[in-house]
Amino acid sequence: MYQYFLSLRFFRSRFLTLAAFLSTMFGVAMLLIVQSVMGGYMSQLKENIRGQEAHLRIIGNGPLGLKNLSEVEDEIGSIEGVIGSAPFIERLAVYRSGVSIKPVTLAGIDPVRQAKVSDFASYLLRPGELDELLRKHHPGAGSAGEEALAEVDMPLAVGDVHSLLSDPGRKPLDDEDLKRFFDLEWRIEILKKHRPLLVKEFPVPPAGIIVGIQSLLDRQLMLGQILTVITLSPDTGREISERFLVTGAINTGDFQLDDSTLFADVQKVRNLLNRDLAQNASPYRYQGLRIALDEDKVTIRDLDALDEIRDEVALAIARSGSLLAVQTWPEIRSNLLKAVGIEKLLVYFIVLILIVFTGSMILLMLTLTVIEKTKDVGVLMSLGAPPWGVTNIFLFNGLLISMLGTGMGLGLGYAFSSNINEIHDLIYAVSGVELFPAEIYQMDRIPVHFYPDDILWCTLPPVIVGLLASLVPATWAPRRDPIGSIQYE
Amino acid sequence: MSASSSPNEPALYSVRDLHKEYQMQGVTVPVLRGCDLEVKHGEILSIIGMSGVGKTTLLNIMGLLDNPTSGELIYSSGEDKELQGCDLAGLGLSKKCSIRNRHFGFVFQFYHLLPDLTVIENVLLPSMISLSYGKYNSQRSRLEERARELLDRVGVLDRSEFPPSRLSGGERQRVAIARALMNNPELVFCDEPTGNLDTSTGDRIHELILELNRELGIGFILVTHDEGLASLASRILTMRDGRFEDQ
Repeated sequence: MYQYFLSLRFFRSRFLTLAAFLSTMFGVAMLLIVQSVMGGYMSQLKENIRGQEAHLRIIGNGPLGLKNLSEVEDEIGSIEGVIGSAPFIERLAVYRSGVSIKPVTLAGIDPVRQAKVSDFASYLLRPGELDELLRKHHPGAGSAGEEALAEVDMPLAVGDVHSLLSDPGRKPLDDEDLKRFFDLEWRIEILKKHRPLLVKEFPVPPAGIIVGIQSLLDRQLMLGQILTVITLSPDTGREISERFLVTGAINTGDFQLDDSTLFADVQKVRNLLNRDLAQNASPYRYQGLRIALDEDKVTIRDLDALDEIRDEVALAIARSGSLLAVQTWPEIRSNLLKAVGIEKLLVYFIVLILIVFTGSMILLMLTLTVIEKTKDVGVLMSLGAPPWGVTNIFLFNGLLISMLGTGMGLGLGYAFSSNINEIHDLIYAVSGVELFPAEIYQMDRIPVHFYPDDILWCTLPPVIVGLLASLVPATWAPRRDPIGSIQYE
Repeated sequence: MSASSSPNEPALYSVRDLHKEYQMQGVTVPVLRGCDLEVKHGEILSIIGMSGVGKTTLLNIMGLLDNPTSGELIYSSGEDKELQGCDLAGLGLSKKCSIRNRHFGFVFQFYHLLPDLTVIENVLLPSMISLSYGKYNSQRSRLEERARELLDRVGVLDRSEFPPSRLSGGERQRVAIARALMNNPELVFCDEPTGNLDTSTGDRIHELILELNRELGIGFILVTHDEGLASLASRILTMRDGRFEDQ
């Protein structure tokens, strides 16, 4: 009884106790804020990657890619949980436009099927939306002279793109919208509207190509521009090239993808790659196949279920006589996910130093209390308190500080993290400093997610550190001659 | 002067051939050199002597706050049948703490009230130590009533909710006496209880000790330099060189 009673009294009556309590509280709050923001970033990143990739990807071996596409599609189509597939080709290339040359990835896709296996449709901007954005952020565009080259406010422009695409009321593009980007009619219309002088030269405009919105906003490329894409033949290794017309823009949220990937019709890319074949050579087919799974069966967090279906797919492919690599979406981007995971762990351990500091505060506070309370300890022992009873008083005192501090810190951290975007906006309004620029992180708001494991790892260390920090002074208290001290004033 | 005790009744506390030595920088310093002492139930015993003769050491060993080098501490409780002729020196730490809490009381020269507690909480401390959380809470009102009774008896009931810092020296010592009596001890060890008080305040403490001894039958062992206080005892023993003079 007396242990709890005296612990509470010592807790209430010491300024140092308050300091140790506050340091624990703020340390834990900071730990939770960092973990929840890093957790939110990780969660958002996974959603983005999942949106850009399909659940699974099959890659063909050898220079000619996936040979028996229809057989593979038949085999995997019968697997429970597989709901769609889309063939694709990805080749390293460069594009030349005027005097500028840039290395890119040339992605051949079937836009309708691609939209069935990923979030492709929700990344594409409708022609009307794109026109409006460019009108707003390209002041004076269309007129000649200096005004046409006025600098673009990229943060503002990227912010507008994000707002537009993340609007929950906006419907993704339907099949007709998707087909339109590579349609002949649309290409003629684009050319007439944006490059009227080239209409005569190109009565049948080149194949359509979709580019990243960044390259349109910063004027690297323009709608209606004709590019020459150069790559190497998969068979002979010789240089092959094709002209494409910029017909649309995409914003995936991945800077690398948005900045240097060109999306063209998969059949057009196939035709390009088969242009320079040696005699009797087999034609290039597809690089691989993206596979979509039933979201009800495989959620973004249920990676075990994803791995199970991957193994089933690999088995089915092996049955069809092919030896192809099957990758899940986290495996495709494993380096990025691992890097962010390590970063999260690193930040956790750095902030954990604060918790060790709070432990030293408890150690210092309790040591001073033990020294100050030596006579009181002597009196308690003379009244019959055993040494372990005295130890418990100080142990409870330390635990009380660490547990209350941890509890309050979790509350404070939760409140801060839950309102972190409002706090960010307030700081921006007062100081003009943008702490989380959307164009860098490709996220409109600071993402926050509270994982149960993170909360556990924010709770255990301060309590354990508090217990360990209390143990030394608490066991020391009954051993520093308290009986002797009560003989003297 | 003492409360009644029959001549055939065994002594409450017998100290036999008690020795205590300290090791100081490799040198053995004897403090108690074979003390023998018997304390009867309800007796007031005064121990006087020069400073450094071992009075406080004897009191600490008898009160189980310190261990003897050799000798026996035979205790015969009037209340606890397990403690009939028991050598306290051989008991374990836990048992010693329990005896100290339930059978003994202590009054020190410098009062030693806990400054973070109110007067009544200081008095309640021995019962908090002896009882578990649940038992204490279930008996709380009865225990608080007893604490108030004791404070009333020692004349400081009106100060029960005060912190000790707002009490005079005499009042603090009265509270310390009330605290010593909280668990109905059989024997109270007083180490210079009036050593820090002026004469008139000290006299009132003398009267209080006598009154408590008479009315409650509690035994007191007084270690003192105060001849007035010593003269109240039924026996006065003088210590010299680590033993009693008549030994």
